[in-house]
Amino acid sequence: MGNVIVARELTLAYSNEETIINRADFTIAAGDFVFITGASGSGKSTLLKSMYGELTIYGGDLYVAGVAIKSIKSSKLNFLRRHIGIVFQDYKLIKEWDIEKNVMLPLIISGYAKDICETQVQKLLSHVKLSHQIGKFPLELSGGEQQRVAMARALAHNPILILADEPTGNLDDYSAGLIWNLLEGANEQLKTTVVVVTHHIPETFGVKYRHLHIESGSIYEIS
Amino acid sequence: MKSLKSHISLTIALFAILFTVQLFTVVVRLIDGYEERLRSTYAMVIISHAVLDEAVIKNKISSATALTVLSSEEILAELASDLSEKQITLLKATLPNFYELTLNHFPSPEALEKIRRTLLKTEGIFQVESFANRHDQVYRLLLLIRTMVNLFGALVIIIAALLIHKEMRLWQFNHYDRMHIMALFGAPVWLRSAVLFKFALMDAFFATLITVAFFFFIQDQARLVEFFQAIGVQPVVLYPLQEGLLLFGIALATALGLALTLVVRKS
Repeated sequence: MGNVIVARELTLAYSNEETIINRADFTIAAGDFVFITGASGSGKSTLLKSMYGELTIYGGDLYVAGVAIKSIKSSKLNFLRRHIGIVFQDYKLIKEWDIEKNVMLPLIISGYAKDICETQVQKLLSHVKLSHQIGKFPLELSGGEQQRVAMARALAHNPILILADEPTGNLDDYSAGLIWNLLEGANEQLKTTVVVVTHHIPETFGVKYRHLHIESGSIYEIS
Repeated sequence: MKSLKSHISLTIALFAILFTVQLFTVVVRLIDGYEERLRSTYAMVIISHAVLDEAVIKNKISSATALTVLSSEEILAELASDLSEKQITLLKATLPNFYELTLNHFPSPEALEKIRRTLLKTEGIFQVESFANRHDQVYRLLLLIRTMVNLFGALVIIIAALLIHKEMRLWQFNHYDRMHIMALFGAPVWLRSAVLFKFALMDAFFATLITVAFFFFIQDQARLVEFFQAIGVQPVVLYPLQEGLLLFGIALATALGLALTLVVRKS
């Protein structure tokens, strides 16, 4: 299996003085489930941001699905992002849109026909157990439900990679359990590569995973 | 409510531009109509010892349309009771020829002076009455009105364009979250900004509708009709279809142009 993410001497920084990640080397293969942990402010979310092109690479190289992020043009970045599903701690749902349209977003962007979008969204909402909430708006749902909508959106376009930034950070144990199950399912059944930034790896986790830990700007793999 | 306010702000700014454009059109038509009226009633009087040939005059003055002989019979008829027939015959023999020269446009004072000098160089012509003072006053008044309308129009358009630009920046700010989320899922710039373009299109349509309705309504208002009658001109205030489409085009180009500028600069 090929690598979905390759980092070579990757250096990330917000300014010249403060380096967040320093000359890191790592690879993530297709189908991997990877947890990235570290203390607050260690650079976990920064690393994830660099993977979806939200942050300029300061030094070294980072390849996502074979595409060099450092020199990427905006049209190519858009194309790459259409193959990535992203989940945020604060959900990032469009509050003016109902949940059906929110889940449909990646499909609309990829230019799918309306009937295909609707069928796919119904399947996904059923998968995240929110069919009964169709037509509602994000602010009418609980945090856990909103995160399940965000999960459905991340899965809508069958991405090759899911990047999740503290997806259970704001959730109770029950809701967090549902989100972990969805991520496990995506990795196990759809063979989607999943990278999750988190403070806590769940004690009972159903799939085999890798664990990268960030400390003092360096990335270590924990066996 | 917030969204409605945004729509109203942009619609009013666009309306200001369209109103100015249409007002300018009406004023230009009014001035053109008034000029046409002056032109059709304006004539110079030429006094000459020799009989003048219309073709020769037209050859010298390209804007000349007709040279008409002014009959001296009426004046002489009034004097007939005080003068003998012999004196009248003598007077008739010594009287110069009077002519009226009409032009195909209403000339500027400079052009008028040039025509006067050309005519005076013609053999036999010894006096040309161009009524320059009165003509000059009217002409300068028309020019002043046109310049003021131009300046006022330019000012209104600049201010309205700045307001539209500011309003769109507010829109962009209000929709920043949505546009950012769409960008994270790979939406191209045009799709992310679709909401701006949609608003611009809607507001351009409403502004056009209000402008057309306003001018359509005022064109038959008694006070306006009386004013036009008083100055002897009947300009068309609005051609609903042609000018409605033109105004919509202007509104659309302004709103979409500014939205596009903003989007391109941001991207």
